[in-house]
Amino acid sequence: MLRRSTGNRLQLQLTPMIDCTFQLILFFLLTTQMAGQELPDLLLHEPEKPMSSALAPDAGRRSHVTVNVLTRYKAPKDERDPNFSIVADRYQVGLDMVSAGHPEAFSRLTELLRSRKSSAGGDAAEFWVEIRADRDIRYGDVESVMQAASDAGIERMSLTAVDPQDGDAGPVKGE
Amino acid sequence: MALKKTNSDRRFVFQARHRSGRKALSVTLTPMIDVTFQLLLYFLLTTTFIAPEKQLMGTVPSPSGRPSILLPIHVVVEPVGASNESAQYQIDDGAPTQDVGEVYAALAGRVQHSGDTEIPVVIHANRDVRWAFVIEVFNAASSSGFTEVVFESASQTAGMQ
Repeated sequence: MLRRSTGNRLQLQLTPMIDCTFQLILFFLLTTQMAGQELPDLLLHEPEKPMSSALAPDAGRRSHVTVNVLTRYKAPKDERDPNFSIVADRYQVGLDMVSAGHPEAFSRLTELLRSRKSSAGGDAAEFWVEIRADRDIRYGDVESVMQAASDAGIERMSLTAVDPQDGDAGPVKGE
Repeated sequence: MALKKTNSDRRFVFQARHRSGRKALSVTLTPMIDVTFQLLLYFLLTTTFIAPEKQLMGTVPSPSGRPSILLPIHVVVEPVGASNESAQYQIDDGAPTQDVGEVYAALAGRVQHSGDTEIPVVIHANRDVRWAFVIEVFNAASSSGFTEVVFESASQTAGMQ
Protein backbone atom coordinates (compact mmCIF):
# COMPACT_ATOMS: atom_id res chain seq x y z
CA MET A 1 0.00 0.00 0.00
CA LEU A 2 2.87 2.29 0.53
CA ARG A 3 4.13 3.67 -2.73
CA ARG A 4 6.46 6.31 -3.85
CA SER A 5 4.92 9.28 -5.58
CA THR A 6 6.65 11.67 -7.90
CA GLY A 7 7.19 14.12 -5.09
CA ASN A 8 9.22 11.67 -3.07
CA ARG A 9 6.47 11.44 -0.49
CA LEU A 10 5.18 8.34 1.15
CA GLN A 11 1.46 7.95 0.61
CA LEU A 12 -0.92 5.44 2.03
CA GLN A 13 -3.27 4.41 -0.78
CA LEU A 14 -6.52 3.85 1.05
CA THR A 15 -8.81 3.92 -1.95
CA PRO A 16 -8.49 0.24 -2.96
CA MET A 17 -8.97 -0.88 0.61
CA ILE A 18 -12.07 1.25 1.05
CA ASP A 19 -13.41 0.05 -2.28
CA CYS A 20 -12.94 -3.53 -1.25
CA THR A 21 -14.53 -2.95 2.14
CA PHE A 22 -17.59 -1.30 0.66
CA GLN A 23 -17.91 -4.14 -1.82
CA LEU A 24 -18.02 -6.58 1.08
CA ILE A 25 -20.60 -4.53 2.96
CA LEU A 26 -22.74 -4.23 -0.14
CA PHE A 27 -22.54 -7.99 -0.65
CA PHE A 28 -23.73 -8.72 2.87
CA LEU A 29 -26.47 -6.09 2.70
CA LEU A 30 -27.85 -7.49 -0.53
CA THR A 31 -27.58 -11.19 0.25
CA THR A 32 -28.63 -11.15 3.87
CA GLN A 33 -32.21 -12.10 4.52
CA MET A 34 -33.47 -10.81 7.80
CA ALA A 35 -34.76 -13.96 9.37
CA GLY A 36 -36.46 -13.08 12.59
CA GLN A 37 -37.06 -15.20 15.58
CA GLU A 38 -40.16 -16.52 13.86
CA LEU A 39 -37.94 -18.94 11.97
CA PRO A 40 -35.92 -20.91 14.53
CA ASP A 41 -33.11 -23.18 13.46
CA LEU A 42 -34.62 -26.52 12.49
CA LEU A 43 -33.35 -29.69 10.93
CA LEU A 44 -35.55 -29.71 7.84
CA HIS A 45 -35.81 -32.63 5.48
CA GLU A 46 -34.07 -32.53 2.12
CA PRO A 47 -35.99 -34.66 -0.41
CA GLU A 48 -34.15 -37.01 -2.72
CA LYS A 49 -35.44 -35.29 -5.85
CA PRO A 50 -35.64 -31.55 -6.61
CA MET A 51 -38.68 -29.67 -5.39
CA SER A 52 -39.62 -28.52 -8.86
CA SER A 53 -43.13 -27.43 -7.90
CA ALA A 54 -42.13 -25.61 -4.71
CA LEU A 55 -42.20 -21.88 -4.13
CA ALA A 56 -39.54 -19.64 -2.71
CA PRO A 57 -40.19 -18.75 0.94
CA ASP A 58 -40.70 -15.04 0.23
CA ALA A 59 -43.81 -15.62 -1.86
CA GLY A 60 -46.87 -14.34 -0.03
CA ARG A 61 -44.93 -13.74 3.13
CA ARG A 62 -47.42 -11.17 4.37
CA SER A 63 -50.54 -13.32 4.27
CA HIS A 64 -49.48 -16.39 6.13
CA VAL A 65 -48.40 -17.61 9.52
CA THR A 66 -45.56 -19.98 10.25
CA VAL A 67 -45.97 -22.85 12.69
CA ASN A 68 -42.67 -24.39 13.74
CA VAL A 69 -42.80 -27.90 15.16
CA LEU A 70 -39.81 -28.15 17.48
CA THR A 71 -38.09 -31.05 19.19
CA ARG A 72 -36.55 -31.23 22.64
CA TYR A 73 -33.09 -30.87 21.09
CA LYS A 74 -31.73 -27.39 21.70
CA ALA A 75 -29.24 -27.58 18.85
CA PRO A 76 -31.12 -29.17 15.94
CA LYS A 77 -28.04 -30.65 14.35
CA ASP A 78 -26.81 -32.39 17.49
CA GLU A 79 -26.32 -36.07 17.17
CA ARG A 80 -29.60 -37.75 17.95
CA ASP A 81 -30.41 -40.92 19.70
CA PRO A 82 -31.41 -43.24 16.84
CA ASN A 83 -33.56 -45.29 19.19
CA PHE A 84 -35.57 -42.30 20.29
CA SER A 85 -38.76 -41.72 18.38
CA ILE A 86 -39.09 -37.95 18.28
CA VAL A 87 -42.28 -36.36 19.43
CA ALA A 88 -43.00 -32.66 19.27
CA ASP A 89 -41.79 -30.71 22.28
CA ARG A 90 -43.41 -27.38 21.46
CA TYR A 91 -45.07 -25.41 18.71
CA GLN A 92 -44.04 -21.90 17.81
CA VAL A 93 -46.65 -19.73 16.10
CA GLY A 94 -44.95 -16.52 15.16
CA LEU A 95 -43.33 -15.62 18.46
CA ASP A 96 -45.89 -17.42 20.61
CA MET A 97 -44.89 -20.73 22.11
CA VAL A 98 -47.25 -23.61 22.85
CA SER A 99 -46.02 -26.57 24.84
CA ALA A 100 -47.02 -29.78 23.08
CA GLY A 101 -47.50 -31.55 26.40
CA HIS A 102 -50.01 -29.05 27.68
CA PRO A 103 -53.56 -30.44 27.91
CA GLU A 104 -54.95 -27.29 26.29
CA ALA A 105 -52.29 -27.24 23.55
CA PHE A 106 -54.63 -28.08 20.69
CA SER A 107 -57.23 -25.42 21.55
CA ARG A 108 -54.46 -22.89 22.22
CA LEU A 109 -52.90 -23.61 18.83
CA THR A 110 -56.28 -23.34 17.12
CA GLU A 111 -56.98 -20.03 18.84
CA LEU A 112 -53.60 -18.61 17.82
CA LEU A 113 -54.16 -19.57 14.19
CA ARG A 114 -57.66 -18.15 14.22
CA SER A 115 -56.48 -14.82 15.63
CA ARG A 116 -53.67 -14.63 13.07
CA LYS A 117 -56.13 -15.24 10.28
CA SER A 118 -58.56 -12.61 11.55
CA SER A 119 -55.75 -10.07 11.89
CA ALA A 120 -54.85 -10.65 8.24
CA GLY A 121 -57.86 -8.49 7.33
CA GLY A 122 -58.66 -8.42 3.65
CA ASP A 123 -56.19 -11.18 2.92
CA ALA A 124 -58.07 -13.67 5.12
CA ALA A 125 -59.43 -15.58 2.12
CA GLU A 126 -55.94 -16.26 0.83
CA PHE A 127 -54.43 -16.78 4.25
CA TRP A 128 -52.37 -19.95 4.59
CA VAL A 129 -50.30 -21.71 7.20
CA GLU A 130 -46.68 -22.65 6.69
CA ILE A 131 -45.64 -25.81 8.52
CA ARG A 132 -41.92 -25.98 9.38
CA ALA A 133 -41.41 -29.29 11.10
CA ASP A 134 -38.28 -31.11 12.16
CA ARG A 135 -37.58 -33.96 9.76
CA ASP A 136 -37.70 -36.63 12.47
CA ILE A 137 -40.93 -35.50 14.10
CA ARG A 138 -43.68 -38.13 14.02
CA TYR A 139 -46.40 -37.31 11.50
CA GLY A 140 -49.12 -37.35 14.15
CA ASP A 141 -47.73 -34.18 15.70
CA VAL A 142 -47.73 -32.40 12.34
CA GLU A 143 -51.21 -33.67 11.59
CA SER A 144 -52.36 -31.92 14.75
CA VAL A 145 -51.24 -28.61 13.25
CA MET A 146 -53.24 -29.36 10.10
CA GLN A 147 -56.31 -30.14 12.18
CA ALA A 148 -55.89 -26.96 14.18
CA ALA A 149 -55.59 -24.99 10.95
CA SER A 150 -58.73 -26.65 9.63
CA ASP A 151 -60.60 -25.81 12.82
CA ALA A 152 -59.38 -22.21 12.50
CA GLY A 153 -60.90 -22.00 9.04
CA ILE A 154 -57.63 -22.01 7.11
CA GLU A 155 -57.80 -23.89 3.83
CA ARG A 156 -54.32 -23.58 2.39
CA MET A 157 -51.00 -24.72 3.76
CA SER A 158 -47.39 -25.11 2.75
CA LEU A 159 -44.81 -27.65 3.83
CA THR A 160 -41.27 -26.36 4.18
CA ALA A 161 -38.26 -28.42 3.18
CA VAL A 162 -34.76 -27.92 1.82
CA ASP A 163 -34.50 -28.04 -1.94
CA PRO A 164 -31.57 -30.28 -2.93
CA GLN A 165 -31.27 -28.44 -6.24
CA ASP A 166 -30.52 -25.07 -4.71
CA GLY A 167 -26.93 -25.93 -3.90
CA ASP A 168 -25.04 -23.81 -1.43
CA ALA A 169 -26.68 -22.25 1.54
CA GLY A 170 -27.24 -18.53 1.56
CA PRO A 171 -26.37 -16.20 4.36
CA VAL A 172 -29.08 -15.18 6.72
CA LYS A 173 -29.04 -12.90 9.67
CA GLY A 174 -30.04 -14.74 12.79
CA GLU A 175 -31.42 -13.36 16.03
CA MET B 1 21.24 19.28 7.42
CA ALA B 2 22.05 17.31 4.36
CA LEU B 3 19.38 14.93 3.30
CA LYS B 4 20.21 11.62 1.77
CA LYS B 5 17.83 9.84 -0.54
CA THR B 6 17.14 6.91 1.70
CA ASN B 7 13.88 5.51 2.95
CA SER B 8 14.51 6.66 6.51
CA ASP B 9 15.36 10.15 5.35
CA ARG B 10 12.27 10.37 3.24
CA ARG B 11 10.19 9.56 6.29
CA PHE B 12 11.99 12.37 8.12
CA VAL B 13 11.15 14.81 5.37
CA PHE B 14 7.55 13.73 5.45
CA GLN B 15 7.33 14.37 9.19
CA ALA B 16 9.25 17.59 8.93
CA ARG B 17 6.80 19.01 6.48
CA HIS B 18 4.00 18.31 8.88
CA ARG B 19 5.87 20.03 11.65
CA SER B 20 6.44 23.05 9.51
CA GLY B 21 2.92 24.30 10.22
CA ARG B 22 1.83 24.55 6.61
CA LYS B 23 -1.85 23.87 6.27
CA ALA B 24 -2.51 21.20 3.74
CA LEU B 25 -5.91 20.28 2.36
CA SER B 26 -6.72 16.87 3.75
CA VAL B 27 -9.71 14.58 4.13
CA THR B 28 -9.96 12.80 7.45
CA LEU B 29 -10.65 9.23 6.50
CA THR B 30 -10.08 7.61 9.85
CA PRO B 31 -13.65 7.90 11.25
CA MET B 32 -15.14 6.60 8.05
CA ILE B 33 -12.80 3.65 8.01
CA ASP B 34 -13.56 2.98 11.65
CA VAL B 35 -17.29 2.90 11.01
CA THR B 36 -16.82 0.81 7.91
CA PHE B 37 -14.83 -1.81 9.76
CA GLN B 38 -17.36 -1.81 12.57
CA LEU B 39 -20.13 -2.57 10.06
CA LEU B 40 -18.03 -5.22 8.38
CA LEU B 41 -17.25 -6.87 11.69
CA TYR B 42 -20.92 -6.79 12.69
CA PHE B 43 -22.04 -8.57 9.54
CA LEU B 44 -19.21 -11.07 9.70
CA LEU B 45 -20.05 -12.01 13.28
CA THR B 46 -23.84 -12.06 13.03
CA THR B 47 -24.23 -13.80 9.71
CA THR B 48 -25.01 -17.48 9.86
CA PHE B 49 -25.57 -19.77 6.93
CA ILE B 50 -28.74 -21.79 6.56
CA ALA B 51 -29.94 -24.16 3.92
CA PRO B 52 -32.22 -22.78 1.19
CA GLU B 53 -35.83 -23.50 2.07
CA LYS B 54 -38.76 -23.97 -0.26
CA GLN B 55 -42.44 -24.51 0.30
CA LEU B 56 -44.67 -27.19 -1.15
CA MET B 57 -48.17 -25.76 -1.44
CA GLY B 58 -51.11 -27.92 -0.45
CA THR B 59 -54.59 -28.02 0.99
CA VAL B 60 -55.41 -28.36 4.66
CA PRO B 61 -57.25 -31.65 5.17
CA SER B 62 -60.91 -31.00 5.80
CA PRO B 63 -63.10 -33.26 7.97
CA SER B 64 -65.86 -33.11 5.35
CA GLY B 65 -63.46 -33.87 2.55
CA ARG B 66 -63.54 -32.53 -0.96
CA PRO B 67 -65.52 -34.71 -3.35
CA SER B 68 -63.92 -35.48 -6.67
CA ILE B 69 -65.33 -37.19 -9.72
CA LEU B 70 -61.91 -38.62 -10.42
CA LEU B 71 -60.76 -41.81 -8.76
CA PRO B 72 -57.92 -40.75 -6.45
CA ILE B 73 -54.51 -42.34 -6.12
CA HIS B 74 -53.96 -43.56 -2.59
CA VAL B 75 -50.46 -43.64 -1.14
CA VAL B 76 -50.04 -45.38 2.21
CA VAL B 77 -46.96 -44.64 4.34
CA GLU B 78 -46.19 -46.95 7.24
CA PRO B 79 -43.25 -46.81 9.67
CA VAL B 80 -40.58 -49.50 9.60
CA GLY B 81 -38.01 -50.30 12.29
CA ALA B 82 -37.84 -50.20 16.05
CA SER B 83 -37.51 -46.39 16.11
CA ASN B 84 -39.42 -45.77 12.87
CA GLU B 85 -36.14 -45.00 11.13
CA SER B 86 -37.48 -46.13 7.77
CA ALA B 87 -40.80 -46.25 5.95
CA GLN B 88 -42.78 -48.45 3.62
CA TYR B 89 -44.82 -47.01 0.77
CA GLN B 90 -47.73 -48.53 -1.09
CA ILE B 91 -49.55 -46.96 -4.04
CA ASP B 92 -53.13 -48.21 -4.39
CA ASP B 93 -52.98 -52.00 -4.51
CA GLY B 94 -49.38 -52.12 -5.70
CA ALA B 95 -46.56 -53.95 -4.03
CA PRO B 96 -45.20 -52.25 -0.90
CA THR B 97 -41.70 -50.82 -1.20
CA GLN B 98 -39.19 -49.11 1.04
CA ASP B 99 -37.50 -47.36 -1.87
CA VAL B 100 -38.87 -43.85 -2.24
CA GLY B 101 -37.33 -43.69 -5.70
CA GLU B 102 -39.95 -46.19 -6.82
CA VAL B 103 -42.67 -43.87 -5.53
CA TYR B 104 -41.25 -41.00 -7.59
CA ALA B 105 -41.09 -43.25 -10.67
CA ALA B 106 -44.57 -44.72 -10.16
CA LEU B 107 -46.29 -41.36 -9.74
CA ALA B 108 -44.44 -39.85 -12.68
CA GLY B 109 -45.49 -42.91 -14.69
CA ARG B 110 -49.14 -42.33 -13.79
CA VAL B 111 -48.95 -38.82 -15.18
CA GLN B 112 -47.25 -39.99 -18.36
CA HIS B 113 -49.76 -42.81 -18.80
CA SER B 114 -52.97 -40.90 -18.20
CA GLY B 115 -51.84 -37.37 -18.91
CA ASP B 116 -54.30 -36.21 -16.28
CA THR B 117 -52.70 -34.17 -13.52
CA GLU B 118 -56.01 -33.35 -11.84
CA ILE B 119 -56.35 -36.81 -10.33
CA PRO B 120 -56.23 -36.32 -6.54
CA VAL B 121 -53.35 -37.96 -4.69
CA VAL B 122 -54.38 -38.86 -1.15
CA ILE B 123 -51.61 -39.54 1.38
CA HIS B 124 -52.50 -41.93 4.19
CA ALA B 125 -49.66 -41.61 6.68
CA ASN B 126 -49.42 -43.48 9.94
CA ARG B 127 -49.19 -41.10 12.88
CA ASP B 128 -45.86 -42.65 13.95
CA VAL B 129 -44.09 -42.34 10.61
CA ARG B 130 -41.39 -39.69 10.51
CA TRP B 131 -42.21 -36.41 8.80
CA ALA B 132 -39.32 -36.77 6.35
CA PHE B 133 -40.95 -39.75 4.63
CA VAL B 134 -44.26 -37.93 4.31
CA ILE B 135 -42.52 -34.95 2.73
CA GLU B 136 -40.93 -37.32 0.21
CA VAL B 137 -44.32 -38.63 -0.92
CA PHE B 138 -45.76 -35.13 -1.12
CA ASN B 139 -42.79 -33.95 -3.17
CA ALA B 140 -43.02 -37.01 -5.42
CA ALA B 141 -46.65 -36.22 -6.22
CA SER B 142 -46.13 -32.48 -6.63
CA SER B 143 -43.03 -32.75 -8.76
CA SER B 144 -44.76 -35.33 -10.97
CA GLY B 145 -47.29 -32.67 -11.84
CA PHE B 146 -50.30 -33.59 -9.73
CA THR B 147 -52.13 -30.44 -8.79
CA GLU B 148 -54.20 -31.83 -5.93
CA VAL B 149 -52.16 -33.57 -3.27
CA VAL B 150 -54.04 -33.97 0.00
CA PHE B 151 -53.69 -35.72 3.30
CA GLU B 152 -56.30 -38.10 4.56
CA SER B 153 -58.27 -36.30 7.19
CA ALA B 154 -58.29 -37.89 10.62
CA SER B 155 -61.69 -39.36 11.38
CA GLN B 156 -61.69 -37.68 14.74
CA THR B 157 -59.85 -34.76 16.18
CA ALA B 158 -56.83 -35.97 18.05
CA GLY B 159 -55.34 -33.93 20.84
CA MET B 160 -51.68 -33.20 21.34
CA GLN B 161 -49.69 -36.13 22.54
